[in-house]
Amino acid sequence: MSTTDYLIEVSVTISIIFLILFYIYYKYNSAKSEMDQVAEKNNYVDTGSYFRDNFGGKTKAIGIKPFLLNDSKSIGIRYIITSIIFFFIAGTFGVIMRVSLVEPTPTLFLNRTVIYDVLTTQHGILMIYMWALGSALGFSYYLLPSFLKVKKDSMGGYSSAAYWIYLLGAIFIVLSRSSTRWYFYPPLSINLNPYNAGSFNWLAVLGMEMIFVGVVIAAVVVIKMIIMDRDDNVKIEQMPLFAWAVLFTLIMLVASAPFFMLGLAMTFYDFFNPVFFVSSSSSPLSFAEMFWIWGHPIVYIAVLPQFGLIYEIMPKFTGNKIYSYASGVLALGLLMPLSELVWGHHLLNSGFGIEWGLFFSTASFLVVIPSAITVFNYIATLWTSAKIRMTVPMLFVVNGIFDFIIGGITGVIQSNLELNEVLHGTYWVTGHFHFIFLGITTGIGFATIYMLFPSLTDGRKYNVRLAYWHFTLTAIGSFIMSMGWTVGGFYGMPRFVAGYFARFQAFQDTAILGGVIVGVAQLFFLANIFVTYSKKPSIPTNNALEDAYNLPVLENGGE
Amino acid sequence: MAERTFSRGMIFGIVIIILMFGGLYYMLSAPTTLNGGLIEPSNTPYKDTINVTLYANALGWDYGVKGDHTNPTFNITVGTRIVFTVIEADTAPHTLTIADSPSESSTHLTLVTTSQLTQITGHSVTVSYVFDKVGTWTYWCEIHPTTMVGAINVLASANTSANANCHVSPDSAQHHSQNNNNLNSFFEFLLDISGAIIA
Repeated sequence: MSTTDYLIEVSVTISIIFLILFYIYYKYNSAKSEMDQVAEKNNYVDTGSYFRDNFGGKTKAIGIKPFLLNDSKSIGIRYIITSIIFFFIAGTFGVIMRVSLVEPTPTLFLNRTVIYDVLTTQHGILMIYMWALGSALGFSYYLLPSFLKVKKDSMGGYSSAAYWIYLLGAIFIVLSRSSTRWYFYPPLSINLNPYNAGSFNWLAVLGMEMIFVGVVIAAVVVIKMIIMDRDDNVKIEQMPLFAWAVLFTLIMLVASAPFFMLGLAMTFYDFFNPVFFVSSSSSPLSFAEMFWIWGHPIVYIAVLPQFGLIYEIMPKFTGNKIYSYASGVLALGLLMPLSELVWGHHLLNSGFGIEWGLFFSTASFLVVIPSAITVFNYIATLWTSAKIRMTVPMLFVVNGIFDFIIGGITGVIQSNLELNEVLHGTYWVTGHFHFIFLGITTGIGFATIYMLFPSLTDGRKYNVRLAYWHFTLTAIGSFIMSMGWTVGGFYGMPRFVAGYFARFQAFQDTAILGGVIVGVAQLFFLANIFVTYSKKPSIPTNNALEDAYNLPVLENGGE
Repeated sequence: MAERTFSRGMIFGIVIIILMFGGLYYMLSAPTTLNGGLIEPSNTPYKDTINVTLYANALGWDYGVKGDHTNPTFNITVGTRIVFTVIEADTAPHTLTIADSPSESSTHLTLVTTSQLTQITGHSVTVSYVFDKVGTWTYWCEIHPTTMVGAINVLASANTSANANCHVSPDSAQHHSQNNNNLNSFFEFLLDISGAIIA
């Protein structure tokens, strides 16, 4: 057989395969649009839910179906489940890091201290991108369709693709075992020597880029949901505060992510031809700037949706409305531009010059204003309440406000130019953001998961005693750990190193005690799942968070 | 519905626990040796230290004088630590790579990587390595392996005298050669004598 005949045969075969595939796609598409019309006629906001309820039987939240259906609720459950799994993985790394520091010169990783760097990197990246950002996206996808009574649940395919890219990126990050810290500074991050920088840095950079692609697509879909798919009865000036918080957060995300995405792409090019960050015409500081233009907003992205969730959870247990809706929106809105302007305070000691230092320092002080408005709004709501029901979610909320005040004040102290020269690079910084991340991000995340518990577990009640233990140990442990770091850092205990000077023994021991308590506390959450699932479902699958928003739309029929 | 003792929530919890310990195991088994374990980083105690300044130029390594491209040969005794100071002399990327073989080998160790030594002329990186194996070692630049290559002859120590085992012959233009061995042993003898006299 000649080559020409062979080529003809191959091309004919491929054409036939494509024709068959196109026919299958055509049939699928016409069936889907038919199904769309039927679903709309039956007052379903999305086809996936209609299909699930009428043909696939009742869906289970923990199971394979949320990973196959493309409606917003399923995608929200995907993100929530993924974030919980990665929270436990990254949390294990954190606890092992703490435990390894029982002695000033650790023997747990004897002659292998790079393991500590690998664990630091993985703990940081996974906690921020998978737990904080993942749970925020999950709650947005899960709650916003009910909160805003969306007219049509659209762009499910995009959300689904974005989720898989994001998950694959996270798996790449874990497989890379990189030790570049979460900020990927060159020249360490373009070092391909496994001993100096963990293993496959190129895989970590690739995974990071994929996480960004996924997150940005998801952000655009959620912004579109808030702005365009909102029901006509839900005016933008009456939107739930959680929707405002998510809107501001995601605009911030979309506005600042490109800087770091570009930086990552340049880093990837530097693997092959180092021209951008270590060449004679550039400097690694240019990467640091590109990173922190994104890196500061991300720490707000981890906090702002949780502020919105506090606004939603609090009225359920205080019995009154949020004290001031307008000031809540104003504060969340002020945090958005301010967080874009203060990124330089992460680089105050890198030789910007005093003028830039003063600018970023002052801008950082200004962040106090919206933060204080938010906190006083919470306090006023609690103050004007007739009776506060101290359930587990409410305890998490109160503890979150308490931790946020401490974490915020320590943050303002270190944005002072002179004090920053002393405090940068010490455990003070670690203590500052762990107060906020454990109090607000993790605490409110678990508060919301407890609120959504009947929906996520097909109508089961969580074990209150175990949940109380979970809360109590998390609150006490995180306070002990962060306080040990903060005080030790004030005395100059350097962070990010696998070891410490013997005179910091007391502070490290305090932090280890707290860290182990936090680690044990999360096991109570796991135990809660085991205990809960050993019983049969006993209550309806609706939850308190969505109830208030769900009722009116069903009467109107969504038309 | 039959009584189920093992539900999907429990499977979820077990998956979390497996992933926790699996992830931890994966991280703890990260490679911590250089280049995947080809040569271990040498933590052995060293007897003496030599400071060597090399100018990295694509035409050849310069020792001492900038611009002569000699690719010097170093003759040292076993257990000597060489502190390399590599200075960028042109604007090309360079590495300093060593192997315990007479020519370039895939079983090598890159002491200075392209990202450590930037392409800014005059930028210097200092690294050290303890040569604890007798034989002919090779040092080269992975990017210019034909022009930038030289030899390090690690000789067996004739005696344990601490100050008599350090000989560098930077002016030797031909690498991979053992020409200076006789001269070296003569120098060793002289130094031993002088040491004995001083003692």
